[in-house]
Amino acid sequence: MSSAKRRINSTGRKKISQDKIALRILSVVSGEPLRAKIGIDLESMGLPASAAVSVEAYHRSTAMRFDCGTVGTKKIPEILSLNELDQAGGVLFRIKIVDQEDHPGKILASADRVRPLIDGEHVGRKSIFPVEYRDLGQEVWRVEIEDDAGPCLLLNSKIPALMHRIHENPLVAGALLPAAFRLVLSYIAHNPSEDDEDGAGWKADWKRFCGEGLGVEDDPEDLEDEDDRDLWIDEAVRRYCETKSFVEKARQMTPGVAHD
Amino acid sequence: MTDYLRRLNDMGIAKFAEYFREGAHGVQPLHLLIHPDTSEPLAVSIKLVHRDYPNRYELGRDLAMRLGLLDPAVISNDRGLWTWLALYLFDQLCPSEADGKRKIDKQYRYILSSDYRHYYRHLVRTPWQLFRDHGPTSRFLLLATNDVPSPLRRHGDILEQLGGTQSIIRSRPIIAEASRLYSDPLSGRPRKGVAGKGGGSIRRFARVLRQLDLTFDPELMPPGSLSAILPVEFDGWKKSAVKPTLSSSTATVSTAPQ
Repeated sequence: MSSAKRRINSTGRKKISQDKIALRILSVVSGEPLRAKIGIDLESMGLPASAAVSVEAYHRSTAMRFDCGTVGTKKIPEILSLNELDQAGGVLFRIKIVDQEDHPGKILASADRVRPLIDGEHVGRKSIFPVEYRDLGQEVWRVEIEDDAGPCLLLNSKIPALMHRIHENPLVAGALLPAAFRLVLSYIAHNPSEDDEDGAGWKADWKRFCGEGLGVEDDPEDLEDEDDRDLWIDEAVRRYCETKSFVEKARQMTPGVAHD
Repeated sequence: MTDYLRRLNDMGIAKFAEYFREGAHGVQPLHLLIHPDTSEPLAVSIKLVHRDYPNRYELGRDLAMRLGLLDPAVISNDRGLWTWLALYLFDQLCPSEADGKRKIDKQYRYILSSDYRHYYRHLVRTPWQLFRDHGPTSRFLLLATNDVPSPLRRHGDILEQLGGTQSIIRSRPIIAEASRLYSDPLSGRPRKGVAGKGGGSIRRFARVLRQLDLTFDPELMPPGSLSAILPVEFDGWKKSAVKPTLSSSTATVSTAPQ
């Protein structure tokens, strides 16, 4: 049995849906702090005009808070400079609307675990494995997985056009992407799901992709044996590689001696 | 002795790190502080007077005053500056024992780490940051329960419990409330038992705050309101806490000496 954990909403706070939030990380400049831009539409939510609006950016234990005026008079900074956050990871945001009259400090509405859009993404069409650029020192890539918000592939911002170079070279892509893919699948297989309020989440998206997109049968959570879960991971990675034909493309690109 | 604040460059930091790797024997490499190959001046001239600090609170207060001309957002993560200061104060941060040897701690205590798990554990930057953020309220975070030898070398259990979560340690209302609950109103020192593991301890305080975070925003709660919603395990501390007074948007301990 999976250890499903539900969030209890005992104070009746409203949920700000993702489509009311326009949030984007601006292009990453090596050596400069991350910057974000946010717009929030609170019309028609029936919130008091005097309620405070605040935005929190966080990554693990580092966090920054931006006070953005009130529902009636929003004062959102044009650019949010995330200079106090850990710069080497995926940033999540939380938007809070807080009562200042009847019960000062009580959260009336919130949007939690909001992941900003990144270059190339569009509202309504989010990647299940987004790519973000960070200063990773001498590390070329890294997978970061937040159980709350899902995985992202971090690429070193010091290497120019790295994603383009990965796509361009099937050998590099074949060495990197399946390994990254495997890390996420392994996390899913060995960490049971937590139900969201609406019964969906990033793990469900990934399992749907494996089932419908790659034709992998079984749900890893139904597999009690550890070895069976590992086989599920292997199967998904194998099928992913087949859809991408990494080896075939690499052979065509660099004709030479194959090590069969 | 009067000196001018500088910052170590990459080579200076590397040489200081090398000194640690070799066991930090003998006299610390003070020449790194002023040699142009290993350090560089700041854009603003900051005068330092070498003194023995009686505790971490006094260190934080003195640094907050001396570094007041510098942009805190810029220097906050200035590895070269904080590491320079750690080397400058090294005899107080890591004093020689009777046998001449030093009991060195983790390197991130002296060389500012960029790792989010470690940077708040730097022995010089943290007192500066806490005094800047919380003023006199930072006493209970920076002082020990009793006077201890070599006070600058100790990070402290309370700070360890609260410091790892930035939304807690940077919050004026939360730290004001914690100070009111857990510090001696006269000395500002933490009260005995604060750092334990039982009900109502500072460890539990941090955990309960993370639970309440979903429904309440302490930044916008009136003084005393946060304490009022803490569960019964905190009643013992609440009974003996001083009453909050209104001071801007935060609660302050009215009887703590300045």
